Amino acid sequence: MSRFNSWLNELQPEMFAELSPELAAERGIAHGGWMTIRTARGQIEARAMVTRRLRPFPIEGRVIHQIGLPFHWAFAGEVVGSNANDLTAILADPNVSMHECKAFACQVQASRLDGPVPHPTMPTAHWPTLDPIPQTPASAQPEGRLGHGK
Amino acid sequence: MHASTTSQHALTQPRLPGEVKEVGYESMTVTKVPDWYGMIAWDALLNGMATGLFMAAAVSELAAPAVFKPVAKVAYPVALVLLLVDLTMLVFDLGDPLRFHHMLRVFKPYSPMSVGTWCLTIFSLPLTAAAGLSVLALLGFDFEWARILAVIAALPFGFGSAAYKGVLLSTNAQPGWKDARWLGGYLTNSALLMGCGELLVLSAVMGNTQATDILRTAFIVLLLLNLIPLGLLFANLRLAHARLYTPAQQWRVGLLLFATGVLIPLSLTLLSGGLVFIFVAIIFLVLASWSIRFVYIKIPHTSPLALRSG
Amino acid sequence: MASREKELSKLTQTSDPPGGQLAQVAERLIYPFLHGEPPKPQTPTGFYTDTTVCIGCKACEVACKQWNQLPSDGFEWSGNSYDNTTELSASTWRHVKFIEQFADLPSGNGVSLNTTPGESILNRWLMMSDHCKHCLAAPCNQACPTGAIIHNEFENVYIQADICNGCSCCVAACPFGVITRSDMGGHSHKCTLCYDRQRDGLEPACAKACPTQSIHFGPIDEIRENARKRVEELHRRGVPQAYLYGDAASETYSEMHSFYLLVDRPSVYGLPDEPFNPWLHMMGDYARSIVGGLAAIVALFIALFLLRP
Repeated sequence: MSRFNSWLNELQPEMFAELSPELAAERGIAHGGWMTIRTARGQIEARAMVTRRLRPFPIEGRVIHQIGLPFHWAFAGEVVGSNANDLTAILADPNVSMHECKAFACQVQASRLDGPVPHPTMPTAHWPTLDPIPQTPASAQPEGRLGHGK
Repeated sequence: MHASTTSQHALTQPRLPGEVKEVGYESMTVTKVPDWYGMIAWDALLNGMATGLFMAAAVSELAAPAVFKPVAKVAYPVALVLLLVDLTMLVFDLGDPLRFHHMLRVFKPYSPMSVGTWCLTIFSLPLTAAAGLSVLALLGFDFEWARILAVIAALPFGFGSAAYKGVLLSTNAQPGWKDARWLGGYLTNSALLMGCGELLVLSAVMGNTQATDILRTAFIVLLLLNLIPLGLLFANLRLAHARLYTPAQQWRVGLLLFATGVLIPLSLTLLSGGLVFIFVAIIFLVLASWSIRFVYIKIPHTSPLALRSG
Repeated sequence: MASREKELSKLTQTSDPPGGQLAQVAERLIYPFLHGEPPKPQTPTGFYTDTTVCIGCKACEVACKQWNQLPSDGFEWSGNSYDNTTELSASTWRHVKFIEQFADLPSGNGVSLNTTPGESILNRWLMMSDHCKHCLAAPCNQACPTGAIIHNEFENVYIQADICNGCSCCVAACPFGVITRSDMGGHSHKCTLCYDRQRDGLEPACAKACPTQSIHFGPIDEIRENARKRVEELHRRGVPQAYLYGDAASETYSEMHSFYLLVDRPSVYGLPDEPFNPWLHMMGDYARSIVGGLAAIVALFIALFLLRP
């Protein structure tokens, strides 16, 4: 649903994963490069956003890294990407069947998934048309109709 | 990023790992560079050549009419042709050339582009008259007083047309350009230098040895005089160039320009008044003049050395 | 820009007027020189953007694009924090910037999006919605040779898109890099401060959409007052780095009708630290140009005069 509006798509065009510089250094993942995230249930690929906003946690003597994933990408739309829900178990809320599981253990690796690169299923909206909006006076045309005047 | 009719899908253009644009805003240039590139360098050159030729011819006619009248009568039509080529180039460089007449809606003395447009428009009228009357004179129909009147009427606007260019290209917020306080001084001076050179070529082509000899001396004087505003301009741009080019690159280009624009024309003009010598000398001068303008125009289009070398 | 009653009569004129090629050419030549009645001056309006409450939702970007029907700018993941729009342009009139300022661990290594903060304040994510500053003495207005860029009756800088001929003098002149020339049509565009909405008594689309009321719109005196009070309040509450950028004229630049409350150096946000009005140099440049030309003319005249037989 989300990936059919070009104004929203340009704000965040690709699936990405946020990780700490320490984890990136450990796994050889470059900022802007591709990484695969793998759980017991599936694997996805995402652009790596290496950021200081995430830090490793020393917990009970072990170092636990945390990565962040957005959702809203899938196989259909003007922009496509891996689907974060491919990694989770299908645990749905009993009321509305909303995907309940949002936190899980995973592995990361600097690589891309095998197989063909997914392609958008919808062509980019052809913007803009220089034709004026019909049955509207010239002064009421949107400013961004870049074909003002003759 | 600019709007485009072709779709830009990130996944159809696979990126290399680590290939990411600059992060953070401090190292990015704040200003946007306009689409002024090669065509504007040519326009700056032709503007100088046209207005300079006219002014040189007018000054020569007024200083020593007996010697220069025949040369000037040929010079005015040539200047008009150069001006028309320049104006056509200017119109086609607009984003919407069919709206070029919109610049004649208003006169804004604070806008160098407006001043230039009006100067060029008004200049073209008496210049056309002067050129037309010169051609008629060459064909035998003499309207001397009208021709002189047209030349005098065109003179201030011709000067304005030469002078506005430098102010236009330095009164803005572009890196490098905004520091070029002497660009106007250099371009106007250079216009007259090139005009004198073109007049020299014309008199050599016409076989007028008297005019050629006098103009050779005048040309050398102007060539040496031009070094002053040129030096001042390069002093203005030193910091900008240091950000973009290595010292070795700067020295190479500087020496090349000096050789092409000063040494060769100077030596050839000193050596002989023959047509070939004069012609080659002026060709080198024009080449160097174009190169100087191109190097200037290039500044905001070139990414800083620090970013390029990583 | 409103659909008042007298405009409705033009509703039927949606197709090309009859009259063929010559009439169209004549209309194109005459149209730019026609002048209507100038609108009555209104209270000057402006924006004040409080970046301390911005949440980076980009609703302002989307609202602006939706209201003005602007195209998207292409889909390229920039990697620069959450900012994939990267710059203002002819088709992006609002652009949200993200600056991550987080302290490195003592043993930290590897690439991070960290920027050195101006003060010793660490661990914050700055967000700022960039757009046209609507300067009082706008260089783009000074530069424009067609008179397309004007200060409208609300004292906002407005580009009359049917007059602009794409000369790009405004693009060169803007010290903030706000305007660019569009590839579609070849004209320059920028934020209009929703001139069409203002004339109907509405607030701009971005101000309306902003969920945290980070973007304030109103009469410029009123919002300047509010902004200064807000800065004082922030200082009292332990944010001494808060200050206003552009609310008052400096030595080198006029005041802006669209100013910001920032908490770090302007260059951290991609703004010029000391904006400089290029027109301060203009008269001097003309003088130098005239001197350079006259020197050559005088030298030429003297040389020819002395050398004449």
